[in-house]
Amino acid sequence: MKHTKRKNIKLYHKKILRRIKRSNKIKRQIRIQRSQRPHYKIIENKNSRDRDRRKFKNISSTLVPPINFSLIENTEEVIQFINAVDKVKTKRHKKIFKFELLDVVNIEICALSLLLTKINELSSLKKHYFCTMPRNIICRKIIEDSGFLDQMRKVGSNQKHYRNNDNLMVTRGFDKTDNRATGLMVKKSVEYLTLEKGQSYRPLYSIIQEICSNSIEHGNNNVKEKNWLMAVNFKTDEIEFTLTDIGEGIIKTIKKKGLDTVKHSTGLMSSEEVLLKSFEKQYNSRTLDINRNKGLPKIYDVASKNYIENLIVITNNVLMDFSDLEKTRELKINFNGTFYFWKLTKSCIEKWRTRTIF
Amino acid sequence: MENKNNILNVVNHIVDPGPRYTKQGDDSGEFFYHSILNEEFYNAISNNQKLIVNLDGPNGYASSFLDESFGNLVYDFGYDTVSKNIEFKSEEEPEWITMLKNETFLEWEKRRLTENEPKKTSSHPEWWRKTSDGNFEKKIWINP
Repeated sequence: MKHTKRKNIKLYHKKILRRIKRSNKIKRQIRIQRSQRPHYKIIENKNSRDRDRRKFKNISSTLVPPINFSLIENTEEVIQFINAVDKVKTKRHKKIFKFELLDVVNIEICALSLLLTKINELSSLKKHYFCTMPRNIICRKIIEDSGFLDQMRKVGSNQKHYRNNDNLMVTRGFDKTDNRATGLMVKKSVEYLTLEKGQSYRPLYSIIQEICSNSIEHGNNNVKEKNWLMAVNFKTDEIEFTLTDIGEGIIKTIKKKGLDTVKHSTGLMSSEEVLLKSFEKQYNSRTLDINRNKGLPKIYDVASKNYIENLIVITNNVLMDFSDLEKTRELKINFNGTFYFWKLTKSCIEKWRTRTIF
Repeated sequence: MENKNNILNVVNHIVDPGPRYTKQGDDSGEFFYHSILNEEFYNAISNNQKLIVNLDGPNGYASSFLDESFGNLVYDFGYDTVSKNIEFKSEEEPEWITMLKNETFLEWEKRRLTENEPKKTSSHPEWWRKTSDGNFEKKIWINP
C-alpha cells in the first residue's frame, strides 16, 4: 500500500489560538502606529534601525538647528549650524546624523537649500541621516511642499513621501555642470511666469552657468567637497532661486591667492569692499590668466539691470544685498562657500525683452 | 550673386552650452572649439571665405564657454586672421559680440604673444594652427 506524505498540520487549542490572534493584533497596531510617526529618513538609511542602540549612540550625532531657521533673518545662527554640520561630518566614527527640526518655528527656502547641500555632502561621504519633522504645522507644511522629503521615507513604514505639487525643483552636482537641467529649468520658469512654452531666458541661463562653473573651477581640489545645489521655488507670481556653492568662498579665494592687484589693497579694505570690487571686475581671476574673471561681472551686470531681482550673496563673512547695498553687512561668522539668492518675476523678463541694444 | 560665406549656427551643434573645460561638463567651450569651430574656420579661410557665426538659438551662454572657444581660435590663428575672417550674428544677445571683439580677442592675442598656452583637459584629435611662416599645420599642439 502506498503511503502518501501527510501535510504537517498544527492543531491549536482554542485558548492558544486566541492568544496568537491577540498577539498578531498587537503587532499590527504597533505597525500602524509606527507608520503614522512623522519621522523621515533617507533611502540609504534602511538598515540603521536594526543597529544596536549602544553602538548607535557612539556613531550618531544629533544636530539641532536654530528655532528661527531662516538664512535671511537669522543669518549668523543658521551659518553656525551649517558649520557645526561641517565640523561633525569629518569625524570618521560618526556615521549617522539626526537633524532635529522638532522645535523649528520659522523656515524658508534659503536655509532649506543650505541644509540640502550638507545632506548632499553627507550622501557623498556615505553617511546616513534622518530628520524629525517640526511640530509647527506651517513649518511642517513648508517642508512637505518644498520637496525636501522627496528622497526620504518614513522611518516606521518605509513609505515614500508624495507631495501634491512641484513647487520646488532641486538640481545638484559635484564636479560637473548640468546644462540640460539648467536649460529645462529656465524654460519651465519662463513658462510659469509668461505662459509661453519653450522660451528661454538667456540672462538667467548665463548666471546659473557662471555660478556652477565657478563652483567647479574655484572650489577646492577634493571632488567630494565640490558641491553645488540649485533650488527653484515657484511662488504665486514670482520664482525664488537659490544656488549654493560649497567651495572656499569668493573673498577667501581672492585673499588666499594674494593676487597682485589686491595684495596691497585688501589689508586696507573691508570684506564688503573686496567682494563688491570682485563683482565689478577690479580683480583678476585666481588663475591669473588675463582672459578670465568675466563670470562675476556678468552676474553683477544682470542684477544691476534688474533682469533678476533681490540678488543676495553670502560668502565668507559678508552678506551682500545687490538690491540695496546699504543692507550689506559683515557677518560675525564665516561661511565656507558662496550662497546666491534671487527672484524672477514677469517684469524682469519683459525688461530684458524690451531693452535697448547699443 | 552666390553667397561666398560659410555660416555656422551654434544651435545646430549645441543647445545648452556648458562651461569652459571638457572636464567641467558637457558641451564645453573646449569641446566646441576642437570638435567644430577649428575645422569650420580652417575650411572657410582655405576657401577664401568668411565664417559667419550665428550665436542665436541656444538657451544661453556662460562667458567662459564663448571665451574658451573663440579665444582658442585667436590663439591658434592669430588676431589678424580671425578678426578679418570671422563675423558674428546675434539678434537675441548681441552683448556677447561686444565682449568677444573688445575683450576676448585682445586678451587671447596677448596670451598668444606671450606663449601662455591654453589648458586642455582632455585629449583632442589633431587641429589646425597657423604657424609663424604663415602656413597652416594640423597636429596635436598641446597635450592635456
